[in-house]
Amino acid sequence: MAYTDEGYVEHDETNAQRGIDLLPLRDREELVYKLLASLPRSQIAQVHRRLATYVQVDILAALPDELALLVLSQLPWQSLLKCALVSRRWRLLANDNSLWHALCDKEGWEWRKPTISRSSNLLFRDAHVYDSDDEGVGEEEEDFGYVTQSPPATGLSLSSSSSSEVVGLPASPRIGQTSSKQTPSVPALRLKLQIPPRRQTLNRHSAPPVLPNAEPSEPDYKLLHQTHRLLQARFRHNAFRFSTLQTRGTPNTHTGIIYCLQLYSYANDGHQVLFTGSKDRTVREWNLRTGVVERVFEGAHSGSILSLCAHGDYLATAGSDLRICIWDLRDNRSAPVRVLTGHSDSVLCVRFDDQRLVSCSKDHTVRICRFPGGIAAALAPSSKTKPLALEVLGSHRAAVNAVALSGNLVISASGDKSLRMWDASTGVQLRSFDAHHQRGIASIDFAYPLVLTGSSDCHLRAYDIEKRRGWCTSDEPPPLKESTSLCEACGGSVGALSPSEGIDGPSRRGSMIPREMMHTNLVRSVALGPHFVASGSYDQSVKIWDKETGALVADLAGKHDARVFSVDIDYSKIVSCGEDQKICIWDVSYGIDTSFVKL
Amino acid sequence: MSTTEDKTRKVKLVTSDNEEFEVDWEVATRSVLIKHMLEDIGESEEQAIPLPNVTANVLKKVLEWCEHHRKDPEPAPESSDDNRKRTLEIGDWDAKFIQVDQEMLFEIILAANYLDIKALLDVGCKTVANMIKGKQPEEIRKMFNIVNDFTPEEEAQIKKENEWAEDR
Repeated sequence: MAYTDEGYVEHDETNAQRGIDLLPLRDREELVYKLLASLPRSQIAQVHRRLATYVQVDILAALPDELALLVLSQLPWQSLLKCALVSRRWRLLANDNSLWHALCDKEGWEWRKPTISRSSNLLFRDAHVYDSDDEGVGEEEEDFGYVTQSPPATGLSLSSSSSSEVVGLPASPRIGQTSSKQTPSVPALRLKLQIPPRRQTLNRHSAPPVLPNAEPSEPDYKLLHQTHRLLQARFRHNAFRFSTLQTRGTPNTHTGIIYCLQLYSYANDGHQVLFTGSKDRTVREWNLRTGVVERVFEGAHSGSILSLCAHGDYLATAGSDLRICIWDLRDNRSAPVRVLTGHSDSVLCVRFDDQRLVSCSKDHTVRICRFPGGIAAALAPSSKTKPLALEVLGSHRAAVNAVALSGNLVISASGDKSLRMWDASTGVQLRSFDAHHQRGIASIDFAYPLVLTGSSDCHLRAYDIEKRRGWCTSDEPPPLKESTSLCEACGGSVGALSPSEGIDGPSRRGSMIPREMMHTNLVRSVALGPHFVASGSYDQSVKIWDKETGALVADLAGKHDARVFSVDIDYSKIVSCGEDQKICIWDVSYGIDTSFVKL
Repeated sequence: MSTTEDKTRKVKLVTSDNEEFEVDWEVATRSVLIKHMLEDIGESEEQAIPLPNVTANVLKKVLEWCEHHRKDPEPAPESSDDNRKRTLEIGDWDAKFIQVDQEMLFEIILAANYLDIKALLDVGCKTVANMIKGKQPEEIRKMFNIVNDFTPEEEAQIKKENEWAEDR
């Protein structure tokens, strides 16, 4: 009985199936709907659950590539990494170079074509010059001759430490980090242990080779993105490799206090060098890879070089001899292409771009030299007949210790505690920031809209001139007093700020950092990096701060034996110099290929 | 074309499954494709526009969106487009509109792309992106019924590639 029954049913089902298949789609849909509607609710729910997976679509995989990428372009990088683990198709899409290119663009991370190392041109010369100590920072308005400690004139310690020492933690124990954060746990060392075997299909975005040989020739933006994130992580974990230039035995080193330095990348090939300027009246150009002095700029200044600025194939140097020299980095002539005069006391800071050069001095003035038609035209040998004038842009009530230039804006920082801002084209003073610090301001860096200052009140202050807020490392930051000046010509108020417009709240203090981790002396140099800012102080330490919040990221104490005069920072390192004639480098790019990272 | 004429003018659309829709010119021309086709045909003719890549049920849904957005200003220049892209936010009405099953969502994205309706394509892409954002790979697979076709070795390898730069 069972047998015939079974056979009958089977036969019937086949026929019914065939009949259903012949129906038009619309009718089949209608039939199924009617069948379903005849079921009790609990059965419908059951069918609904069983059908659930049938109506799921792997949308991303089913879409054409360009639409799938359009979806993925909406996602943050963290999500893309997850997507790459979903399936092969998803990995292919989530690793697409266009997505990572866009993410890098958003961060300003540029791919640089790796190049072969340049031949170095060495000019070995030595100059032994000793003159009176004339460190850059000038006197303050109410505190004339403010000197924190009398510096030894000569006989400075040259005892450089070993030149390649991994600093897992800042040397100072005051940072109070636990031992769990020490070097072995940082990504760098994990990386070394985990370099994956090279595999054809999967290795495209693996950790880059330790040796910069197998550089990818086509931009690999996921690799670039990951490399930048690793560099950032190393900054945050204080995973620095410490080294010094100017070590004993290195030929052709500075013979005096080093007042200023700047990291500089040549425009044509991205080759990065370090310029240092010294009391020995020379500027030296260091090859950072070899630690060798590649060029010496000398013979032009008759006093200490207090400030330097390299930009667009030119170098400007300013000194205690009241002069500013401009050198053409493309030629190896031993003379500057222009010498600018006008200041009546030491020139403490010089900055320039393609349109103008600005300088400031102990003589209380800020001066400007405009380059009509651009710097190249203004400095061309053919225009030598037209002397370049160093006109007064404005003045302070005390020495002007530092000046900064960004876009069309000039900001000066003075011992009179104030900042002043000018329109570089018109020369009109747009704003002044009075009592921006509790004592004289010693240093400034400015990348619109962020103004970073360091002061003899031992603090740093970051101020966004657009949003009118920022952070300060001080417990009690001075109130933000920003005033616009009156236009002399029309009597009207100049600048964007109307009197009714308040200034957004008080400054935030940098994440409640214990007082003992603050600078304990004048902040002589500040530098705005891409994600972090660096400061160098008379307390002999270099510190790294979070650019957004002002939180202390690293306390690099114990490496300089004397006052720090200048710091610079980029994606992969911090450099500093000072009274001890040392040039210190804290590097986070060790062990990984960064030849494709535009610094 | 004058605006008064446009308001009264009707446009006939024919879907791949041969259903005919008659809609206002203003609604139909949310689609740049249809707008261009209308311009090519010229006003005088009463010709129906064939849409061989869109089925009736999807077009119905798309036209619902077009109807609601018939008065929207023309797509703004690049800058504001970038602004919109930066956030995954979707307007209230659009969010409700796009609460559809995955098949329909997929079809809407395809149709918006084919019909060249940028704002709708944007809504569709953002909706899918929002489904993915913050999810673990296994959650994503479950949501879209995806089979993990990696070998365990490959999976471990990709994890390694992903994590070497991780901040921890």
